[in-house]
Amino acid sequence: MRAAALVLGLAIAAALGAETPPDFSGVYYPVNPFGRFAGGPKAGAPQGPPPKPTASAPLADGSTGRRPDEPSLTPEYLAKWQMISKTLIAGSSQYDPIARCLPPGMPAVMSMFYGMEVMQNKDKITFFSELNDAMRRVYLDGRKPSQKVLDDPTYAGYSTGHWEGDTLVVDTVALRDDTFIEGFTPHSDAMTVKERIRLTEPGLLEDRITVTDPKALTKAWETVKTYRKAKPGTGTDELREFACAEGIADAK
Amino acid sequence: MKVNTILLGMLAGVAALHAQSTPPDFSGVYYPLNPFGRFAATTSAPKGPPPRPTASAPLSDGSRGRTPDEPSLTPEYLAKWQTISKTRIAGSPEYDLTAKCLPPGMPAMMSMAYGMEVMQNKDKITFFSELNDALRRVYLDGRKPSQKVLDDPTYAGYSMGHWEGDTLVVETVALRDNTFIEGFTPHSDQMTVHERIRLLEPGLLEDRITVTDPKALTKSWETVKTYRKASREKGTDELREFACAEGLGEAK
Repeated sequence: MRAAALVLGLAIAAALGAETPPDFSGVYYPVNPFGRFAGGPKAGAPQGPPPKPTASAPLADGSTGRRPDEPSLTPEYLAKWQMISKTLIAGSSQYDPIARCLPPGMPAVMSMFYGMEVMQNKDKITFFSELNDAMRRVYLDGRKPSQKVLDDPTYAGYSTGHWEGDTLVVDTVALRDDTFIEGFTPHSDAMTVKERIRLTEPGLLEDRITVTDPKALTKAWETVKTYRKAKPGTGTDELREFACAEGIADAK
Repeated sequence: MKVNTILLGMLAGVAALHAQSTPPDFSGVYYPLNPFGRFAATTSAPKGPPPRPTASAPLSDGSRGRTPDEPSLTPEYLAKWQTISKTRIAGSPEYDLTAKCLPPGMPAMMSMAYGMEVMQNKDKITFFSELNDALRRVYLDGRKPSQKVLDDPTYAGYSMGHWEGDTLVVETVALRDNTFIEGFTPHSDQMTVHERIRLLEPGLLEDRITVTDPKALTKSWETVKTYRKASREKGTDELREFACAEGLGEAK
């Protein structure tokens, strides 16, 4: 009888364990903020500093055109991109939300160049970008956006998530149409973002992002971000306040 | 029967241990009961709208002087306050951090006039201010600030906390000297902030704040903030992205 109770207890504990999702909480740095490849550096990858950029590398202002792995734009949005490229080549920050201290916006915010801080509980997970102090929430309690939220889009959008085993599946809607998918690739107000976030190994978080936009993209675009967890005691697991507007205040 | 009694006893013991060693969870979205007040909320407070301001109420530009319950300033910092007051009476935002999209800074940020989002785990608790998207972290894992952190003060400062029963006790150091204690009361680089945060009752969070500053204050100053937890049913438990710099962009 006592043994049976013990076995039952262990079985319940095991079942509960299976239902408990992994905890992503922590401070992370991107392994490949500008890349599109999964898994971080391969075992046996060359150590040391990255190679110098070559003369044929695409420039951030788009003056050498678009790469084949960038989102495939419809003619209307390609024209938009070309127009923005001209302002960047001219040195204008008119279309640069980062320079203007605005949130990077989804999905670009998930590049997390300066570091990312994740806090998680049963009902919510938050992703905070050190770059421009941008907060993003994913509701895990089954709620849906109200009409008011849908009518009032934001940079981070409205994200709802659920667990499929050890993978957090997130849908993001209600995104402003004046942000960029990545770099300065524009999108429409019909853009939605789907993510599959999981630990590929302890301390290595992967975010597989799929961007859908029937107006701006000729096909859905996929990218993969990978982040490595900062270790306590190394001084790297504390993000610093960004306070971007300091720069604006100083410039005035 | 005997087994059941043993099991019940064990369960009760485990529950008691759990209750003793697990601190309360402050996670949630809150709104301040008294963002501009200094008095602890009581559950027997009169219902209904607050009384109208009287003609003798101090104005936020300081043109009617300081109230007796404001921090007691040394002559040097009172003169500073008078300088700032003159700029405000003249309508200048020169010393107004919030208008410049900068973080409100500790302890002023704990007014949380627009709402506060708390996320908590064993090692850390974060307080996010909807006003100006300002994040504040309190480390609970026993760490201390590095010399680098102490040499590089921030608006939120560096906060360390520990639990004393159900009360979170927090010390904050490494604060910038160009923020305000409250309103536009200045302080020096010697300011430190001590807090005792607890749930007065389910859903009612209290923060008892003590500000010490040997250069700017003739005596330490105390204030009490109280916040009520938002409810999902009323749809008030979702903060909105503030993106303050939108305004800066449009003003140009």
